[in-house]
Amino acid sequence: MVFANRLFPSPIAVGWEMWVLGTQANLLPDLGKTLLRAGLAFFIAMALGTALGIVLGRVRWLDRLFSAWLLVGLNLPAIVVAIVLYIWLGLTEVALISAVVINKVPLVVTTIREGVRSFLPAYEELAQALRLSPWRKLLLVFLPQLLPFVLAAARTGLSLIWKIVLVFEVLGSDGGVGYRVSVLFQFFDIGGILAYTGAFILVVLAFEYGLLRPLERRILRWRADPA
Amino acid sequence: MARGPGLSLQIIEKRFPGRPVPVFAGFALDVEPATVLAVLGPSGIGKSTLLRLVAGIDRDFHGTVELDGINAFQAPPPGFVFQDPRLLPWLTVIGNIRAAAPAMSRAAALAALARMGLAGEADAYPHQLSGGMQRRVALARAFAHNARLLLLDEPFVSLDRTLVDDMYRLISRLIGLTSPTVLLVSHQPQDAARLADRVVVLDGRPARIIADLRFPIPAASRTRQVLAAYEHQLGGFAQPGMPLPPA
Repeated sequence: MVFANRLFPSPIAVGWEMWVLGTQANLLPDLGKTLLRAGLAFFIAMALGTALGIVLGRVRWLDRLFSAWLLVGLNLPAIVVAIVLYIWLGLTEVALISAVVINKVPLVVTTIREGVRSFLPAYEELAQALRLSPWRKLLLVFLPQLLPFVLAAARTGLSLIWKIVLVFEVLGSDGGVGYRVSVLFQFFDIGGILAYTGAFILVVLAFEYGLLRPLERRILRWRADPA
Repeated sequence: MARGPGLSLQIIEKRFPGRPVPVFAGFALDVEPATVLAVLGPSGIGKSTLLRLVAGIDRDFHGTVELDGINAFQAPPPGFVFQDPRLLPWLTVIGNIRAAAPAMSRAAALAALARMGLAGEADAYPHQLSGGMQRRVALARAFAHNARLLLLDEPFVSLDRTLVDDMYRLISRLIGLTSPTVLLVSHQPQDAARLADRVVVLDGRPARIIADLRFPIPAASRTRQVLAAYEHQLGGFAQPGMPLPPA
């Protein structure tokens, strides 16, 4: 055999390792911890980024004022933000989640801002001609145009968050998939690392195909090509 | 059914930013209740702007728009048919109708669609309809809330002749049913002659009324009269080769 088994475990071996770690060790609590962090960071970043994106998309002078800051935010190395926050706030959940949010928000703001800028004035005119109340205008004209961009921001944002949460957990946390992978790395336990990675990927796929895509199909069913 | 209101339009000045000459200055137009008024004129003269001012879409002007002596912007909304169908693509056909008339029941909306020959399309999305069907939905939407004022902005533009005839019939029937006051903007004299009780022709900048024709006579004869006035006033502005209807 060219490669040693220990470094290149078979899929069956990885699957077995996943089962053992899941039933007898900390795989599930670690996954839960990482998902909780990612979920919290995701919702905070989406809420904050959507609100800021709408404001910057609608108010031209604010957009001009903050566009340079947004550029800085988009290009700020994620690891620097995490290290600085860990120094300032200690190795805490708040520091970790804040670091993820700070890395994610500029991306959401940019996507939502572009979405708001792309709103068709024709529909605004229609809303005026129909004299829609602000609430009905929001429901019938504003949100439907915004939703495809919110979904795009959610998808790109999630892929970013999955990655950086793990990196930040490696850097400093007391549990979670990233933390456990870093521990397994100390022992060159490639089977364990791949088992954790596989479990994590399964969760991501379940989220994508079980939640995000059906939601997208439902929300965008009015399009000629919804998916 | 209440007849359409009298419309009184006084535009002291309407100017677009960056344009040295106003579109309208010292412009006045009074329309009698339940009149179908067609506004004709070359492209860019301000016909659509006039409709947008009356509808309250553009309120950046000096002047007043009154319906039966009351500020038009405090009155119920007019029915508006844009040059394009302008349906909200994320709403179904019936959703588009009820967007204009939230109090309308589903049954009433279905009846309105049936009048347009769209009974089977209530739950379709706009992209699933042909261009002609989309126009009919737009028309149903404009009439959905029993608007007493109806604003039609080139409703026949870019439609083939068969569809234009369909639309004429539908609009004529709906106007006959509800007797609204109608402002129809067009650059086609035939449109005006077939539907209108009165035609005004705009020209110049700022725009002014250069012809004001009233037609207490049958539609076919109207067409000849409008064409003649139009060509005389604008020096052959009407489209070349346009067929004249029989006298």
